[in-house]
Amino acid sequence: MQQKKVRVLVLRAAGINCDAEMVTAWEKAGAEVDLKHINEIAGPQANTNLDDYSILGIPGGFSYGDNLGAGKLLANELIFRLKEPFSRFVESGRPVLGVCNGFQILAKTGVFGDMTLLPNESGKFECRWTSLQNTGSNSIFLRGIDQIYLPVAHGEGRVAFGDGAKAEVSLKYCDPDGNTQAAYPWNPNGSVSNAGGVSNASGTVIGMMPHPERFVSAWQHPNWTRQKTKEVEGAGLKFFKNAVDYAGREL
Amino acid sequence: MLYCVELLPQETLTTANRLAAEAAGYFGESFTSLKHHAFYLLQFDPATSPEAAEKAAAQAAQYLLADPVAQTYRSGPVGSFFKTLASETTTALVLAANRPGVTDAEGESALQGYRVMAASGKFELPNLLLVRAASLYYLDLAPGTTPEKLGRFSRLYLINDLVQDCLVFGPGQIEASGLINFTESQFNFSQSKSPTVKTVAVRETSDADLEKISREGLLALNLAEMQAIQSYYRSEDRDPTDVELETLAQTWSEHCVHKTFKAKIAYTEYDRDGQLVKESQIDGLFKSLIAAPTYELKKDWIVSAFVDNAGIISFDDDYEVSFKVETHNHPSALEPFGGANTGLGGVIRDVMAVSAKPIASTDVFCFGEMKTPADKIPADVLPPTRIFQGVVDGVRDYGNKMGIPTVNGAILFDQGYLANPLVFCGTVGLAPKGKHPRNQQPGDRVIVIGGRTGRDGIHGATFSSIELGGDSQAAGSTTGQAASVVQIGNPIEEKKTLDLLLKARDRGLYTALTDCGAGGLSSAVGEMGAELGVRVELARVPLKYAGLEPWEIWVSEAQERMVLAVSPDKLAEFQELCQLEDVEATDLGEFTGDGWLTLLYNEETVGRLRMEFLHHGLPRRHMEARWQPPALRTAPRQLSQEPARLPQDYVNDLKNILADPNVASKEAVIRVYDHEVQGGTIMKPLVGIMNDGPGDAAIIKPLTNSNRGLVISNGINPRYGLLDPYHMAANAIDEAIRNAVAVGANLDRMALLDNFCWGNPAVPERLGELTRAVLACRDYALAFSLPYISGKDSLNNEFKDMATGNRVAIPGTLLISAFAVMDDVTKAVSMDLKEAGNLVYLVGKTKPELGGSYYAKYHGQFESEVPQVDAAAALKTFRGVHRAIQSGLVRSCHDLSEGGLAVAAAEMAFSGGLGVRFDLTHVPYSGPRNDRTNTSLLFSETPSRFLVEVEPENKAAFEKAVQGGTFAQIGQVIPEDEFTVTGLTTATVMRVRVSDLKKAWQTPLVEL
Repeated sequence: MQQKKVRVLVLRAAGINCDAEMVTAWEKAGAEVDLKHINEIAGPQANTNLDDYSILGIPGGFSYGDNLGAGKLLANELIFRLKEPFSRFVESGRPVLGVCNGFQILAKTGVFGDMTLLPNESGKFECRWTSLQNTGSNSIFLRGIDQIYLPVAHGEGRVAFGDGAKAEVSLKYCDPDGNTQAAYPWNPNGSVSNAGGVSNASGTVIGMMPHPERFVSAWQHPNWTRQKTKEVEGAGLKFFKNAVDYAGREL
Repeated sequence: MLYCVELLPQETLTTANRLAAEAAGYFGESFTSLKHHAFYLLQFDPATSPEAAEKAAAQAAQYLLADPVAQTYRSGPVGSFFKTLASETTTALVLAANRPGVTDAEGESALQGYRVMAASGKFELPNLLLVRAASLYYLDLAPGTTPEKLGRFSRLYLINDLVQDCLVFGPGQIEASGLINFTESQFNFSQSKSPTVKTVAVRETSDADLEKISREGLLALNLAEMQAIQSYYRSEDRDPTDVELETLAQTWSEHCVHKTFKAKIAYTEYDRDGQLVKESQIDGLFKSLIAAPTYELKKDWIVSAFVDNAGIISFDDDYEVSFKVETHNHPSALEPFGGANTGLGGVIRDVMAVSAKPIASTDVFCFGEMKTPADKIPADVLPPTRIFQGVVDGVRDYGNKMGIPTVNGAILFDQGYLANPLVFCGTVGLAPKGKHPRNQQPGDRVIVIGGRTGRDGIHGATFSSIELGGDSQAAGSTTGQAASVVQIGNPIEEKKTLDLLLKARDRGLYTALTDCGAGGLSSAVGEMGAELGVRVELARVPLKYAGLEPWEIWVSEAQERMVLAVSPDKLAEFQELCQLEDVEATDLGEFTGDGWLTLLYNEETVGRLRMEFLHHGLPRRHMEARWQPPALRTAPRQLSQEPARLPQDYVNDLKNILADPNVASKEAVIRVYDHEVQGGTIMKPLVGIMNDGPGDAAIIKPLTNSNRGLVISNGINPRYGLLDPYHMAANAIDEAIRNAVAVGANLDRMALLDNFCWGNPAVPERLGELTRAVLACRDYALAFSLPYISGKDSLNNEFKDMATGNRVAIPGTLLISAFAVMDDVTKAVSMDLKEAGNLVYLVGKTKPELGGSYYAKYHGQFESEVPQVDAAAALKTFRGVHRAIQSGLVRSCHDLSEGGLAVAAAEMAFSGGLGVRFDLTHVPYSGPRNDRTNTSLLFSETPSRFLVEVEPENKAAFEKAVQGGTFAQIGQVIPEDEFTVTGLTTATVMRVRVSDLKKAWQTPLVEL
């Protein structure tokens, strides 16, 4: 029996706009969630200590307008304003989830080494549902997930690796048959190796372009009106439950 | 002390490829390749040593500007940098940047990012004053390509001249001195002259000179209005300052006070032969025809209609929802991206201004035809493809960055919109009940928050009241005013402001709130202080750059600003919150209680107006409206005499209509909008088995712990208006309702919004058309018992072609938006067929109504009326369909609109990936026996009809639910890839593969 709820910090800053959905998802997964502006964690008005939390969630949006490249400016704030607490958080093995802009932010902090996200191959922002397959990675977020249907909505989601990448591709875009070589539109952005999500070596940090927090209720599925028996919950909730279970058990 | 950084991508990006394709088309064989490099100009403190600046520029490039995986960079002082660049570069070069003073969000972000680096203590960074973002384009062109030709290319494809500037060099012709001068001019835009206030003599001025003052100042006031001003100042015994005159012009602009909709109208109606059939006086279109039905209907769930920035209705016990639709037509014609961008930004602020969280947006666009040949596009008019691309990009940028799902819309193409595109943007908001205060008190502070004020958007409100082209743009180019009306948005500034406002609302930190829209501070502060009086110190307004005159500060329409009334005892807490959210807040003055508008600049009075005169001194207009049905262009054909048509003919008709840009799939546009953000879009704009069918209406479920939702739909069809605006309006209302009903909404808690876009109302014929449309708005609101809660009009959508002297007005256009509260969204249905074997019902009667139809578009006008709405029959149909959906008896439902039964059935089939077979002999029909033909049954656009898919075991229950209305089972869903129609004489009149129909429907809107 769990005595205390797992505490999750969801980060926001100017332009983050998927924070409310992410808070809902963590709450549905049984966590106690605080939504905090970066100025509440760093700087003169800080009142929050990252060390007090077991999980960090970085939601999607357009932090600082994605000016200078998606996620770059908020990544720099993590590097330059929160360097020590952020590194400590990651190194202590506490789960970090970055979704969409959150993934772009994580990537640009260098947590995955030489890895970045480039503008989509189509040259366009794309909002659509696609499928992803678990590559069998050790990610603590992916336990029990084999193939999953999730929405993407981004303009800069094309994963590219440099020589010094420290990331494992843990989720690959695929077609409904599970083919991870599937081209556009299943691979909506032209990512190398169909990479839709990457993890660090220990599997505690995941960055992913698809939005699991947008599929935590059956009614969010694009085809729910076609299904006669409705699912009880959205499949995306599994990511959040996995992390909360892990944190409750291991930390 | 100017340094620069150039980013060198390791690969050519796709956007560059798109440009490269344009370049290849433009230059032909002389073009080889194109590269686009981001370029930043960094202005350091003059005291900085060259070594420190050099190092800082490189560090900024390495840690802030360049992506270490995908880009390298080079940097240096502009002088030597450009000399090297000029000597090394053999290609042609274009350096492009926003014009000085135009919002440069990228540059502002770079400065912020630099300051974060500096504050970290990890670097020793000198003081950086300003960053400007720019672009370098390298074009590999054959030697001898002239700079003139390159300049034309740049203005067509790389920049918009109004807000951006560029410098071009032919291959190998690069001059460093030119580049240096250009970059330095980026930093020399703020004038340090001391502000002045002029007095304008009006008291003894002749009528002709009064009109001249109005015209030359772009005041857009007519003689009677100028005379009212004259007589006020005679009584005050002084002349107005420029600040006061501008205040009056903004406050009295058509845009802000809707003079036409308030005017007394003498309306006359004639028949086709010119015989007078009706004469009446209308005591204000708005008051007597739009507002009157709302008040008459007395819906107790209306929270606010017409008085706030958005209309508000009750959602549940704890929440209310608001909706507002705005247009931004003139700016979008001149600068499509900026115009549409700030159009959406503006309507979002309207919803923020009722203390609501925006939860969904809608957009409806009207453009000229995409395939218009270049020689048919008047000078000064952008090509429709460029307007289309810019408008879509502008809405995408603002909506996505604000995190508001764009869930519903329409795009129409008609040559009447070539010079005057229409851009309607709507936003829906959600707020806890009773949390929007309207309670400013004397002594409360006047606080402006959000973006800084610049010279952008000056005269937007008055400019929108003047026709485009010719005079206004010519006047603009000499005074620079037409250029300054164009604005560029910065959505992240607005997002910060939104985050702040929702927190401030929940903590009760303000007593009143409004947004800065048209007219800027003059409108916002003027309206908030209308009852009390207000005193403002203009010198305190935070500026983007120095050198603005007091009147410019006061009327600037710089974006992303809101004005609040804050009680002095809450001010400290409010300011602390602003600091946390990184939002600039400035105390401008106070609400006084003296009934005067007092404007100070450095403590000197620069304007003082009685609020009573400002808000009630505008003389009411008396206008003439005249309606006569248009003469028939050709002798109409009769349906009964239409030659026999073969199945293949009908198949081609259907494919033509499906591929018509107005009907064809808008998927390419819909997918660039994030329609899923916030997680509440439970009925998406694209539906069906492959997520690519045309949904009828969007449904938002805004609360995670409740199944209550909001249905959002629209109706628009200007084609009918060319025949009769009255029936156009009725059809738009019917279409908005039936789209909502098709997904499961009911009429009991549904509200409407009306948005009129018309030509110059001073022309009696135009006002006649408009009046007829408004008359229908009243009649059908009452007939359907549906109130209007908000609306807007945009008039003077006309263009004067300088070459021909012709005036072109848009087709009178009415957009009706509907929104309805749905108790249980899990009962909703989509329009895609679900299962083979199910029955297909047609609910509602079909009449031979092909006037203005898409069939007629391809076959010429028929002698049949424009479709008319039979409200009594429609109500029975709407209620029956709602009952059936509510009882779970409906698997799919789609309304019949453009292209009638044939198009609706085809869309349902290909969206569901199934086939359909139906029989025209079963279609319920009403009309002359001779007109009951296969053509009229397939393609008539009679409103208030639905196709409904029902499981066989629910047959009896369904028929019971829709009883009272007209309905018939006309066919069934089949598993084959087949669309088969049996005609009146039992022969197969159409047989085609559903997949072929889908292919026709998926014809791209723009072939690039």
